[in-house]
Amino acid sequence: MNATQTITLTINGKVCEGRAGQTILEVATANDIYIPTLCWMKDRSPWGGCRMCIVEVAGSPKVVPACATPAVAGSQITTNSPRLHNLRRMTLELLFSERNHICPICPMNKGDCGLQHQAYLHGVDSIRFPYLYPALPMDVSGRYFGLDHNRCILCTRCVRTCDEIEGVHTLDIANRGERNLIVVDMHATFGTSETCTSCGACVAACPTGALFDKAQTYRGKLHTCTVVKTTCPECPVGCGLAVYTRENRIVEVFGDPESPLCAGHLCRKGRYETWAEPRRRITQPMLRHNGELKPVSWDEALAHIRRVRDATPVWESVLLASPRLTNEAGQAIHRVADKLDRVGVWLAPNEGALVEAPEPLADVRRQLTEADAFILLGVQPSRDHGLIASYVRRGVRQRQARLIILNCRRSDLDRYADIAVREVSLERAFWAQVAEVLRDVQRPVLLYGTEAMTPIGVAVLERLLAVFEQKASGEAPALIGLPIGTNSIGLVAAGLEAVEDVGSWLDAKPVRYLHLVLGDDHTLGERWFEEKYRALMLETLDLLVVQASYESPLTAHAHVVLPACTWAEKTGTVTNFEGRTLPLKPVIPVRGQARDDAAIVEAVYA
Amino acid sequence: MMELQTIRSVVTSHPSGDARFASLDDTIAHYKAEPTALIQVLHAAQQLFGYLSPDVLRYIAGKLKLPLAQVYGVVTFYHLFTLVPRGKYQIMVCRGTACHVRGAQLILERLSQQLGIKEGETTKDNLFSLHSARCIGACAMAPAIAIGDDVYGKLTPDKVPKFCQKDLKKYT
Repeated sequence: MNATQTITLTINGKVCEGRAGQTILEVATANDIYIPTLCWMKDRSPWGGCRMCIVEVAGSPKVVPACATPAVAGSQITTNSPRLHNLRRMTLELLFSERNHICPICPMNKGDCGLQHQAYLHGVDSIRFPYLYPALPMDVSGRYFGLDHNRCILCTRCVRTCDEIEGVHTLDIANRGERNLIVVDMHATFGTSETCTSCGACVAACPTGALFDKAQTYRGKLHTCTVVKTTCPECPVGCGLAVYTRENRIVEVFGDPESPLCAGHLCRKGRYETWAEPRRRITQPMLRHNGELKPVSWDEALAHIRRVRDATPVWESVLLASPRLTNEAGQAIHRVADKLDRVGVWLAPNEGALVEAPEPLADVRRQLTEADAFILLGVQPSRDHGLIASYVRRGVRQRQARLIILNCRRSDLDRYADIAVREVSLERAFWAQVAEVLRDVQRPVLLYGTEAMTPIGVAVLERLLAVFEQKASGEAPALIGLPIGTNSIGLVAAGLEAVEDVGSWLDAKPVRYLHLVLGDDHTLGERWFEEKYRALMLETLDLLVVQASYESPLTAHAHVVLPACTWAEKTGTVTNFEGRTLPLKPVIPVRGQARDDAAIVEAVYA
Repeated sequence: MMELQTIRSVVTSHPSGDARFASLDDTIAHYKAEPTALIQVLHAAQQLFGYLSPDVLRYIAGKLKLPLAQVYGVVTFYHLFTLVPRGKYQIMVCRGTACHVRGAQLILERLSQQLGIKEGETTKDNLFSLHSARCIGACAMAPAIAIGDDVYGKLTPDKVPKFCQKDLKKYT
């Protein structure tokens, strides 16, 4: 049967068009006919377990689940009848009687709960069955989310999401019958799980309050929130975020379903580290006076910087920026570069060659979803690019894609690998094995990172490409470079100098004026700003200006601290690993007297 | 030079060197490490080890490239598999219809009392585990219990203490 063949069927007396292969639910939804669902979820395999989507098909004595039944041309379907209503209502009553659904103490109460919503729709005002009141445990050992079995309806949306989207399959159903329970690994907890990546996709998939985000609990109903779409600031993949806010506070961060690469899925960093923020915010300019930082006005802080700058020669003044800044901030810095000796952006070791004028990538989503082999070279997607790691896991587990990991640190991906080698040998026997694994591969993808830019990495890359050249069939590998800094590519393109080794960059010439533009950087420059160096630098510097959103060891040593906006308050763009320009939009108002990085740079060097 | 190297085709057995794992490896190899052979492999493992410890499950999950949670889900679904050690002999108290109406519940309670263990538990000497079954097919002898291939029928609660003192002594 042709997959694009159009079929016609009748639903509730209305003639509906659909495509062959679609389910009854898909055809109905496309024709604006509502069928209630609980366990069904878009882009997950159908389960057919909750029985809410049952429909009648003329000529069949039985009702069928619309989510798991293919639509047949010419069939006559009824989605609403007294019989269906009573069956659905009974199903709901059974669900309520099975566990301890105590709505008043559930964060999903009144509007966010799929179960409660269906109960309202079906007029469930009482339960005709005796309640079982099972004694169930709950697991709040996870850092970001908890699992309360009392509220679970065993719809397996979390299980399917964990397996099919994040690709780790940490969750499953244990036991049988009324003893069924969602289980983490082999009866572990989220806090002790060996496989959970804390991506929180299970929480986003849960229709009830069984899986809940700790930080979101009781911050407000999601359906009353304002939703703003922006770009994730955590890594160069640049997933789309759908940020839920209420009363100028972030309530929850989900993936944007319309974002081309992430399609609604996020990693731990995007989903939680963006907003479950333990650091202390800086809200006003501060000036060191008698050894202590004191709050001052913007004018005072800027005037002080100007005085010191006037007394400091240009050749002893430098500015160093975080790779998280926007393109606009990078351009602002570049415009004032003549007032300083050097302006740089700090990168990871060996990242420079990866971000200097990279070719724009096209078709990355198709390459990742169709690849039948992944080769990882000097890159740590599990740590640095969570979304890419989920694509790799999906490929290996769902499509039996081959996986070769070369010159990477240990990660959970090793478990799925055909070959995982930390330090590649150039021996002939080893490369014969690589060639054997790749023999029947047609659409390989080569993901490479900073460690592929070392002399050894380049030698390995050449060997790999030679393996592909000798292959009888199959495409050449799609090359996808993954930098580490969120906007390293955009900032280097804006004209900032790539600085891989900050210590020697600063040591190259005498420096008396240092302006650090940190923004909301997580690393806070501590990676390079070591204790011994910090003391030395403070002795030689006339002025250390730290422009940052959060307090850190660097702000503690600064002469002047300037409050900067966080990602959630910024307007601007970043350039992701594909070379796409992605917008950052303000989701909450600017806190205190903080200002945008570009505006601060312009004011300081006006 | 090669610090870490794992290649799927390379056979590495359990680090303990326990010969039973080598035997389990044979079973896994027989099924070509296909994930669909999970139940057969679990069966073999239970035969070898007597029960399925977390260590054994982890080993099987690794060999068959299956998620831990999925292996655990299958093990806990089937009555046949056990996560805790069982005794040398399994006492099955039949609770089928015929045995039920002739007082199987009382037999089970009395046995439990005499052995000092609850249903599902194992005696301290690791000799007997107490279970119940839906029907063992000996309805004519109801109420009946089975120990391995031996069936004991027409029991009454009062016969249980003597049964424990005499008949159970045969099993050592």
